Amino acid sequence: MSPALAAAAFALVIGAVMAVSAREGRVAVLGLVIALVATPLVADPLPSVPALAIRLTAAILAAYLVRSALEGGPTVTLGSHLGWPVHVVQAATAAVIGYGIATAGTFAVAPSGPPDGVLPTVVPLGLAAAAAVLVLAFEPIALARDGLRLGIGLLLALSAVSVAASAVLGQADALAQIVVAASTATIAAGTAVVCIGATAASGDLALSRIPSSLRTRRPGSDDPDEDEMGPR
Amino acid sequence: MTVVIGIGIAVVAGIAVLALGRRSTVGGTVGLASLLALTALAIGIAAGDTLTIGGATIAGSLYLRLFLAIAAGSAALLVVIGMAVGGPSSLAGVILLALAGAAAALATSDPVVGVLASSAGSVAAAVAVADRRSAPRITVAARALRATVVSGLLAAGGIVWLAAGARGLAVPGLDPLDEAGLALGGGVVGLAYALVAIGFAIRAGAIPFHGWAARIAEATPPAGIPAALALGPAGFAVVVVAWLDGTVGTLAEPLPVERGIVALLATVSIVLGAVAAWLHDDIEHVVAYSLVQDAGVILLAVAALDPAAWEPVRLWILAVIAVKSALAGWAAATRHAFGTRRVPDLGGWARRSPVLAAAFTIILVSAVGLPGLAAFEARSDLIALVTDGPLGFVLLAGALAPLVYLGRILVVGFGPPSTFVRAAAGPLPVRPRRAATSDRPERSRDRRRVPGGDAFAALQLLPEAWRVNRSPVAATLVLVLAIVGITVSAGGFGAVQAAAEPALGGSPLESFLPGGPGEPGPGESPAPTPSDAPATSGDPAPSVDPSTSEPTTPGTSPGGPSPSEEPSVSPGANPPPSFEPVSTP
Repeated sequence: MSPALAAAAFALVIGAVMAVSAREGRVAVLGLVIALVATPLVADPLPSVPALAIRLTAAILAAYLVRSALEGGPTVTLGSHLGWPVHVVQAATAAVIGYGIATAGTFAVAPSGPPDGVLPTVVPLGLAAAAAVLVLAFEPIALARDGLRLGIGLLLALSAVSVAASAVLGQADALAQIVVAASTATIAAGTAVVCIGATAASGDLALSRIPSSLRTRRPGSDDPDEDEMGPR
Repeated sequence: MTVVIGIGIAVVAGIAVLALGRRSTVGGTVGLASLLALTALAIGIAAGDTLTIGGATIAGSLYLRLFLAIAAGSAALLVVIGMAVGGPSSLAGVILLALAGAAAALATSDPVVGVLASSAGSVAAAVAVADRRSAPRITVAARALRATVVSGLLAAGGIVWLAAGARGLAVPGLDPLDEAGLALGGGVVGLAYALVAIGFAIRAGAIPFHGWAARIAEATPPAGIPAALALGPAGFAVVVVAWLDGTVGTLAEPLPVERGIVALLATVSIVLGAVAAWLHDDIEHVVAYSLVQDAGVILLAVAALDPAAWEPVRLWILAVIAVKSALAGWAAATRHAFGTRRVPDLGGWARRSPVLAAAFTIILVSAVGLPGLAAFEARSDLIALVTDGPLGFVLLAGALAPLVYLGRILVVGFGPPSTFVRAAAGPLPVRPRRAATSDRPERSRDRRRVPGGDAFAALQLLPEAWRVNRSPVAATLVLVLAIVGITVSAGGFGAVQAAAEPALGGSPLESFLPGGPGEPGPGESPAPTPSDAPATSGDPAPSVDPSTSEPTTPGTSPGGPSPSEEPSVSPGANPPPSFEPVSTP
């Protein structure tokens, strides 16, 4: 276990805890950028320099897109139901389970274990970090009370899956790195669109309820395409 | 190389169109030109056209060529229809990005890359409905974003999970059939299968995961419904089925509970999708729920877990893309022509607009299918692969339900004309008035004296001609789409041959293991011998040519040979990535 790998895994989890716990949007985005930048570094061996550059560029672009969506509007999210102490416990528990799976669970079932040099060695720290981040991402995705927290949850879940893949299967090839980077930027762009729209429509980041009768023409509207959902 | 150029054009043009805004003439024109260029490029894709980037291979195939040509060509027509009916110009951008994701998914042999690319391409379609003037619409966009991303992550997680479990099974010294191997295999394979199947069900809007799909169909323009609910799931589905047949399908795991649940989801989607399409009065809801039904048919292939499902499901996907593009185009053109989207208000529409009526009739025949049409046989094969008992009759009845819910619309069209229909403009093209000559008659006369003056004057009339003839133009294009749809349903354009093409080589582990594509990765078993041929679901296993690692027997369904009698090749051809292939006792 290299200290650099441990530091990257720690940064990933700490960033994720910050991102899902913070009520202040800018702090949440700071946590997100820490987590996204650390994500490609939780690998042994590290990706190639071009792949690393692509992933880091996508991470910074994603954070920039989400951050820019908060400019000029309220930056306070609806926050977590649980609070940061619970998130820390959640992450720690999941990390222990992930570490346990990597060292004594499924992957150790073979009597001789994975022979060195034939299959890439499982990175227990990577699997531990992935499990922790995945658990942290669950609440913002499942409840999705505001656009920023939803986007943060989705980006963290993508990070968790990519870290788990490289932890278990070894480093991904260039195309996989490009697709993960593109997915990161795309999800961030989608999050930015939702945040900007929510701020403009309702004055905050919260997602409103959808009326049951969407086909009702809005009062006073002459547009035949306009209904409770707005114009198309 | 052609594939990469096509994906690059789609991505760059898609982003540019979206950046230009919802109501940009330049954006719409750029989008339309890009779709036409993409169609032309797609026709030029050659099977075996590969490009290796950093150890990963992007490959062209017959299926990718046909898929992209049909999807991009239909999308170009839909965009013109969208322009005619006053839809947003950003529609082209959304479609281009969805096409890029689907093309990338079909061009790679790595399923993780495939599902992530498909999901990423569909994000634009999910959030395009966001409108600053409507808070509910923002929520719809957020939910669609969540469904799109979560579905891709679930499937990617399942694929990684199975590949991870395969590491244990692939270790020398561990027999996959001994107690430890079976215990490991059952748990790993079942969870991986469930994750991937649920991921696809969410992505396609299958019942009970249809909430986001229904909402997005309400919020998006009708011409954009295929981009949101058909293009992305289509690429996703092809990747999922290839992965299932190449990995899970080669194992001796029957997975009765997991497959039963997926079969139940498929049945519910087919039956309740039909009921919902029949009950809803909104023609856009009908389009959306018919796509939910189609997702149920694709889920049958997931439940079958049989290489024999490979050809029919891929053919079905092609037919869905073509036919449902036509249906969405019809919905857009009809709403514009008559100013309503409610079926009860459309009384007499077919008599008022014979071109739309002809197109709708063709769409109806394509959607229901006739015995002998390739799509009809494909759907029947998929049903037969899952069940041949009473449930089979339920599924077949549900699958034929478009006759009821689309037939209802056609019957209404021949009824007494409604107020909306009476007020609609006539179906025939109108000659544009020479407005420019009234105020400057002397200038107009001068222009006629110069060479080419008449042509110039005619060009000046084009915008006016477009303005007054938008409904007839849209109706004509819907007819073209409908003809393309029934041609694909009948197996035209080489759809049967393309669908029967074997899966791209590769494995879920390919991109993660040293050795690179085309080489057996460390821990990967050698090509199976004929006696090791994968066996699934109690069906005869396809024989495998050890020299080519490709099956040589047609992947016929239990119901008999495929309608076209084309020899099909099972996608289970790829040697299992890291599982030792096991023979069914």
